[in-house]
Amino acid sequence: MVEENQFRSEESTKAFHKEKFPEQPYWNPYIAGIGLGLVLLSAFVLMGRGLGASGAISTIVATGVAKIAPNHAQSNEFYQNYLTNENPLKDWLVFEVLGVLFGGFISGIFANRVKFKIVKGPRITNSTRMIFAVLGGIMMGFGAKLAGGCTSGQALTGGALLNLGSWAFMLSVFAGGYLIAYLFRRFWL
Amino acid sequence: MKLNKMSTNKKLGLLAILLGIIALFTKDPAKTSFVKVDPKNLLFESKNTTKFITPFELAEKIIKGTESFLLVDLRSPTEYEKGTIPNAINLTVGDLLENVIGRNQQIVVFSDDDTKSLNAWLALKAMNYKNVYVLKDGFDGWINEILHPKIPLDLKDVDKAKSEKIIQVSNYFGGSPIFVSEGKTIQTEKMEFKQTPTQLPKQSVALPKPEATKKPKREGC
Amino acid sequence: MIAPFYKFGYFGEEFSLIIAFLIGIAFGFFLERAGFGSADKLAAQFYFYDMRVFKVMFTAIITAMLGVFFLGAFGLLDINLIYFTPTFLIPQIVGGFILGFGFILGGYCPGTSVVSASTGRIDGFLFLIGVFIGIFIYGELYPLISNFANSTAMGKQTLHGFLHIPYGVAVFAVVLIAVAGFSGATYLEKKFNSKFLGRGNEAE
Repeated sequence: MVEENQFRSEESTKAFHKEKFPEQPYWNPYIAGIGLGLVLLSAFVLMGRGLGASGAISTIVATGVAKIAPNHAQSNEFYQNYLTNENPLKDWLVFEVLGVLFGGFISGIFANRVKFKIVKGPRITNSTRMIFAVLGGIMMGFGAKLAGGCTSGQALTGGALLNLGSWAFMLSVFAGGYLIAYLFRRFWL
Repeated sequence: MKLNKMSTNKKLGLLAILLGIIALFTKDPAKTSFVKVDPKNLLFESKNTTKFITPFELAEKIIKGTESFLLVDLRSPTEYEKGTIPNAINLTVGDLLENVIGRNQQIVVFSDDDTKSLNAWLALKAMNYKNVYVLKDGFDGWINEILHPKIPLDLKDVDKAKSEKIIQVSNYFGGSPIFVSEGKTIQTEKMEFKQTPTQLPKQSVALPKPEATKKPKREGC
Repeated sequence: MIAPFYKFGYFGEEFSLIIAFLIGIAFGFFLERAGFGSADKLAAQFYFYDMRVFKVMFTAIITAMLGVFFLGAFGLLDINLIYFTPTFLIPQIVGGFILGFGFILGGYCPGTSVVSASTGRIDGFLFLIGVFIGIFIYGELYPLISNFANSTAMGKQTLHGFLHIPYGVAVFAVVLIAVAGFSGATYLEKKFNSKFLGRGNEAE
């Protein structure tokens, strides 16, 4: 809400800004796809591992739990998977995700796409969108851990390696999405 | 075919299909053998005694913490549960062949049987692992030299400093030296450990510089 | 020099973290360029008027798949040394469905929400917070569901290994399905673009 008011008061500067620095169109999906594929390939060649995102978040969560309740984290096998006796945040995926944060920002800056806003369909309110963003995130975090990875770690990485579980996972993601897409069409259309 | 009139997308699609067709007739790359063994070199290395590391050398290096070791316990899971060297992982020789361990560290294999360890050493060497060592006398050596070293009581000053060091190392790993005088054991109480190995200190001490033996972390997402 | 370089010990852990950061930058850059930093572009996949999620993902998959296959065939890359996640079929299918639901509700996946948050999307940031909460909930419930999470373990199972076909045939089939899928997706985009006028991107 606050953001909205802020924007309204800066309406004129915004219009000027929009004219001077128009948002660039997104890339041809196939070109972007080849770019992503080459990034993934370079991870295979250099490191012998794929990309990931939820793994880094798991490491951060596990580290946080271990900081607050060391004994609790010690007894939980899931957290133990992400903890090392060294600093657990000195981890490949954590650094990779920091890179993603930076890379996304760089791309956004050059394409004039960096701005505070809420992306949503035209028919829902900002607060509904925000509540469901958190809810969707919770489901995503839970589901990703059950599946042993998210879209980056399983679908993309495992997909390229023709991993059976990853392909089953990927098809399930699309199936799950299409299954309820119609019910929630108000959100996006 | 008017290739230059096609859109970029169609060209890319065509290229992908072309590569796919080539793939159809390509030998399975997952079955390519990357192992190139030089028998002469292997024979030379296997005769070389530098492949051994004594328990005391290993213990000292772990305490110093400047080198990174992966300790591989080749014994059965039941024995491993009873007690092992801190941070060791339990694997079979078969596991080693499946490339489960990284190559960026020094690997120390041990067992209760040196033949088994030497087999593992040979397998790893044949797979081009560089820094592989066998723990001399295996886990028994570790017990005898580190956890329960025999310390003679009647010593000259030179030897005293040495045994002082041994006691320190032993205490670090939660062991207890056995003091002997003219072949007779003074401290008998701790000898019980030998009969009931269930009481072996497992992860007795938290290592101050844990870099020494790093727990392998899951690589996946 | 044979790849993967890290696994053959050509560089150590410290350097690998620098590589992680650089690879991450490239990853984030291409995700943002593809339009994956914006929830409406991602969700459009499920309403057929802009199928870039499918197009980008499958282009990336076949690019990397062909790269791995041919580098391996030329003896430059030892495929067996690439980390391969083991299959737990049923948990992965169930997890996939939960992910699909979460996608419709929230509009992102973990990786894309990071990109979206970095370009100032408030919904993306909140989604990312949600992912943290979701993983924490999973961690807390793990002792209760670990049996299920580790069920139907099939080890390291490949598609071609499971179907008993040669690797090359599987690669060819995936390329063929993807390319056919691309033209199907373009057809759907044209059809649904007129339905939801002006929402979709230019159809290729």
